[in-house]
Amino acid sequence: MTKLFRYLACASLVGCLALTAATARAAGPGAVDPIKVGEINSYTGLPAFTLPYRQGWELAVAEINAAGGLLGGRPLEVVSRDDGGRPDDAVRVAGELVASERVALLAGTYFSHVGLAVADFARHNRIPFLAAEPLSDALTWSQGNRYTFRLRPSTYMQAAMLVEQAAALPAKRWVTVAPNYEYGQSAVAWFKRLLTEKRPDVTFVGEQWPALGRIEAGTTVQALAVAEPDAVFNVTFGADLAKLVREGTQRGLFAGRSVVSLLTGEPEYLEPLKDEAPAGWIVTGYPGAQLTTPEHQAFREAYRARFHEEPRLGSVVGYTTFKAIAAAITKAGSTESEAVVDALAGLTLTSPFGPVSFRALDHQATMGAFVGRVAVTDGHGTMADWHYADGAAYLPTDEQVRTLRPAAAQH
Amino acid sequence: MAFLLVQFLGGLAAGSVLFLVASGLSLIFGVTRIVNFAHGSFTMLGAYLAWSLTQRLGAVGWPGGGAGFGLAVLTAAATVGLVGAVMERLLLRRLYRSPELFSLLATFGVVLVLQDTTLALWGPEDLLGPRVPGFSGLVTILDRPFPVYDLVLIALGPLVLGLLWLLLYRSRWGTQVRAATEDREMMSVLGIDQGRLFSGVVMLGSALAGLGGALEVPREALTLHMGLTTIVEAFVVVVIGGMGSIPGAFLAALLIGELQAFGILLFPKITLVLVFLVMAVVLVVRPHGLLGRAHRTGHPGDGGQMPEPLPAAGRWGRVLGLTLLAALATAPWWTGDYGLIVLTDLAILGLFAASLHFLIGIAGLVSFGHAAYFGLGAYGAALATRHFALPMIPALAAAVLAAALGAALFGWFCVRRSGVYLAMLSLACAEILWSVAMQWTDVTGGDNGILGVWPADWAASRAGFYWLTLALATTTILTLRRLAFAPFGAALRAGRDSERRAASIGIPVRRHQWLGFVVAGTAAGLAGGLQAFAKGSVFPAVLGVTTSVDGLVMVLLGGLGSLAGPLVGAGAFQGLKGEIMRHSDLWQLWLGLIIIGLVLACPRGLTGLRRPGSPPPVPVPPAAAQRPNGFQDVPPWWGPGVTSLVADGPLLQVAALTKSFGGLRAVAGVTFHVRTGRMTALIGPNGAGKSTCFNLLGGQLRADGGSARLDGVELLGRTPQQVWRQGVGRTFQIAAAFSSLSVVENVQLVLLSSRRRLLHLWHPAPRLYRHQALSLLAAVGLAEQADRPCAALTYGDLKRLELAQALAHRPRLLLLDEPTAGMAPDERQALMALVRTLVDRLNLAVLFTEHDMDVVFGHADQVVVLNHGQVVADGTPAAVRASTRVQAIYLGPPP
Repeated sequence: MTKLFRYLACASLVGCLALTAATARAAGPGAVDPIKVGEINSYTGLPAFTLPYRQGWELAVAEINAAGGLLGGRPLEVVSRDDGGRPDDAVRVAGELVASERVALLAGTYFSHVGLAVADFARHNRIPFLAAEPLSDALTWSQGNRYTFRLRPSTYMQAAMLVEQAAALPAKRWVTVAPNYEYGQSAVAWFKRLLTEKRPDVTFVGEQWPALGRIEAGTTVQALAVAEPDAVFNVTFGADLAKLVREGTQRGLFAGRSVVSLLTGEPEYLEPLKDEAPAGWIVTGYPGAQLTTPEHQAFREAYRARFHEEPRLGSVVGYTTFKAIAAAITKAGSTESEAVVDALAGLTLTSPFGPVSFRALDHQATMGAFVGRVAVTDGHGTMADWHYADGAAYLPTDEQVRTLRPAAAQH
Repeated sequence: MAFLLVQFLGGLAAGSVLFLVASGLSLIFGVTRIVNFAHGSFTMLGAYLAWSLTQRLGAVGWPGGGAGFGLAVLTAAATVGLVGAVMERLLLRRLYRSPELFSLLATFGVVLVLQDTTLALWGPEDLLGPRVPGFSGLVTILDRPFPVYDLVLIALGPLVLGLLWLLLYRSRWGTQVRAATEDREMMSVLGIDQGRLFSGVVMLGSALAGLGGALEVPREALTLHMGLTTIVEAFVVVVIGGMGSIPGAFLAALLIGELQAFGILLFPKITLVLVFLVMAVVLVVRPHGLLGRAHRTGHPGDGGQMPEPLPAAGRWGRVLGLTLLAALATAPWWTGDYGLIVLTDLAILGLFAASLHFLIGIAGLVSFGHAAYFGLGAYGAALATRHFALPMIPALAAAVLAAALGAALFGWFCVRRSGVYLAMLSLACAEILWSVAMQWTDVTGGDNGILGVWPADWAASRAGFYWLTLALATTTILTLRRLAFAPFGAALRAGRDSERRAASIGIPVRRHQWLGFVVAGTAAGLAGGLQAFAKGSVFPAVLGVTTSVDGLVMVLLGGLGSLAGPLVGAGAFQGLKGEIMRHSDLWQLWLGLIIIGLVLACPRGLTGLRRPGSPPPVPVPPAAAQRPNGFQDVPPWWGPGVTSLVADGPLLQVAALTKSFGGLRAVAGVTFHVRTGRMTALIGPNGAGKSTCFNLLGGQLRADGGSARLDGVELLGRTPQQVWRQGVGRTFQIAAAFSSLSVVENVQLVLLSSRRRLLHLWHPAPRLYRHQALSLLAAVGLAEQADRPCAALTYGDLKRLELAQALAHRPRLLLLDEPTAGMAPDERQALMALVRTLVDRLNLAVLFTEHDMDVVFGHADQVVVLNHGQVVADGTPAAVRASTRVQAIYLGPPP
């Protein structure tokens, strides 16, 4: 019996390796030399967010290649890798993509720390890196470098968009609840600073810092309520958010109080809440089907036709990331690293959200977000009373940015 | 006040659910000794199943309010129970004979499989379960709203505790479970069908996990991360409560629930580390948790298999190793940049795995938190580079130093615990460091880590850094190897094989293990430092649970029994993971299946495949009785020995020796003398206190009162090592040897200890004092067996080996606990004749216990008779034989 198992295990091992070798060989060079882009994301770590993102870039790449490819007919080829949510794995696959696949640039990542690790790899190896999803301010500011660009609005920008709304509220006593890591900490810090600048009369009377993914929602809600706030600023997301919403709604934490919440309007976070979506919360997000601009309509139609589902915010991010890459390579006229970096700085393109440009100053894109209130229609959370907040309007002054960014990374 | 009450109730509700999950884990561990890593995944599975069932039953329209939900919960729990039973039947059952840790590896494979299965079945999105009709409202408690469902949960905890109690204490099955928990050997004595019992227990435990998960559905969002979060929390609860103790788990679950409820008020930022801090404190204060009792747990030697001698690299091993090293050294000429990246990673991980193997495989200290030292090294290097602008080599030195200091600090606490408690304490240390790295943003950069830690210019090229890594890793691995074979490593292995025996030959086991811990931590620190430079950045993840688990998987996959194991394991694990990740999104599923397959196919790890199951047959030596006593005279190398200061008085004077266990006075004022050149027998019926006397004299037990002076020096109150240093050699009632050393090495180790050379780090132990050890073996008639593994010895030969070991220190007093038990009659006479020769030639004093009256009256010069802890007779054999009291004790009262 054991012998049989031994043979089976050895056979499976050998089979596995053989398969590997076979697939590795199958991926030989094609007829036309493609332009390779390395793509890294947390596909197994956060599938709910990264799978729509992948479909987004698949659509973009399909459109680019259908339109004849880049640089006179060379197809765009994406070599995609999973980082398992770990920065060390991300750096390893980045090394593989650059050294073995000879990719022209790197793109992707979701988690801030993974994004930062790849950004530093990019700086060290002088290879352009377009960070798609990470939000950390450090990526473009304190740890910014010549080779790294970021598409999504940063933590600062999203907080600033919400501060504008919060300042208009009568609320004076605020409490905050945020996951206890860099994203939550800097979101709360910016929110407090920017809000007290606009409204010196507000006070922050309590704060909760649940560990990411491990909120004890009932007791956290009680602890927030006991401070008797007028308003709540929330940074939790995902499973923590769902629990907070459920317990808070049930225990009346949100009744008669304003809640301002980061990212909650994104379909990725709003959809799982279904009919329990917290109506009335002021959020940043993406209103999806309600957005009827021609750019978005075209994107949405194409996406639905290809994947038979509604795009999510990740889809827009993935799509725009690869459109930006294509635009940069076209603008550079080559795939040479320095040329692509120079092309990306100041690059302007049209995204499903309208025109977006990558600031030469700090490599942050001006892609914005939608700010509005959560509403529940037909048992699903949506956004209402929303407007588009253009990212360019929610960034500090150029002087301030220069002090935030290392001198070596400035143009 | 009302707020505090509501907060308290909230803590109770959370604690209740935690208890359900943890009780299952505790139950499974208590009976099967399996550390079920998949337990958290079962909770996740229960939750997802209950979610689907409530969706179905919800459509029917919630018959009877919560009844539909209740049905869904119970069905989910039962289904998970069945999955657990299947896992037991197909997987765990084949592993009960393997080293205990292997079940951990196997269940880790199950975790990976369940993870991707859940993803495939339910999709990636977080699921929010429906509220329970009839229980979705609020009650008002002192004007504060409180969910009704939470009250239900609060009631469920004690209810399940009560039901479990009834099951365990009021049913036949429960009696069997308790018997198996208390004493595994008992099971076979009682005729319990082990397979069925274990299946039942795993099924029940898994069902409890499923129940806990299902009950969370109305208050939790279901995510694919639930499994890992739950298993860590459940482990914490079980360890705080005491492994195997259900009431302990209940208490600990409530403690953790309340800790989190109130912790967020007092320390909102450190709730996570709070739990681990409490666990660390509990374990430091109470070694077996709040309500746990001492088990023989988590020792690699348990589970029916004794560790075997560490195989040295044979000629072919050396050739293979050198060829491989040459191939690796020339890698930059035959592989591309990516190949170098992979090989650099492999060298680092190989070093990390080798350091963990040194801890587990050599020192027998199973650490679940080895990431702590890897991470300290990585952060040490990164901080030295970024904050102090040190160049690479000094930064690497800082890495090694940081890890060594950390290991010295944590190791001091860890080596004082054993088994699963040690594992969890080490995990707590790593988690505490992890949260420091995560929270101390000013220094560590928090979650965003430390960036820009790239190698110095001279090693900046991929090949340059690869060569540096390869050189450092190879040197360190070879050094670890050298240490493992040196007296230092031999003593560590002896301490692992049998702590009590090691102490009785003068090895300071704790201190030695602590040094071993520091060595392993230091090597891991170097690996961490190299990792920092290889990746260019350091994040808290290097200190995380996954890093520790990866290390364990590599070590176990490769096999504990060989020093090549961790290297093979690192290669296999990293190679497989990397390759599968490149080609499949379902890499966890494939990796899990491969791990399970490998565990089943080679339960001793990949390197275990090479070695046959039993040692090769050796020609059977002539029966011991026919062997001549090799003893000729005092060997010249033995030195003059210690001459007695008390020239003619008794060597050992025992007076009013007392020891009680609870209410039982095992030894009640025993007084007797032992003289040099004589053999004194200590006899008495079972339970008379003979072995207790021996253990008091040897330092294994602490006396309540009295004195025992050896040549005027008080023995009581000394540790076994100190007693041994005074010149007292002893054998134990049940003969055994250090099974990971060969016969001659067993004796060599005592000689090394005797000459205070245990900290010798360079020469291989098998080469030191071999000649002397051989002459001692010859003295007891074991010369022909010198190089055999101890497992191949007959019981009588083991007794002889013990005698040789006791002699190696040139004792003045020999304590022999039933020296001839289990021997054939002619063997007995031969052995006692040998002892007599030794006494005469070496001027020894011998105190021995014995049941065989022929041996006693045939060989003793003096006989001391104990009964009920008191001396009833003391005199020459003839006088004792004539004593009516003694006759009454042995033969019953005269008619």
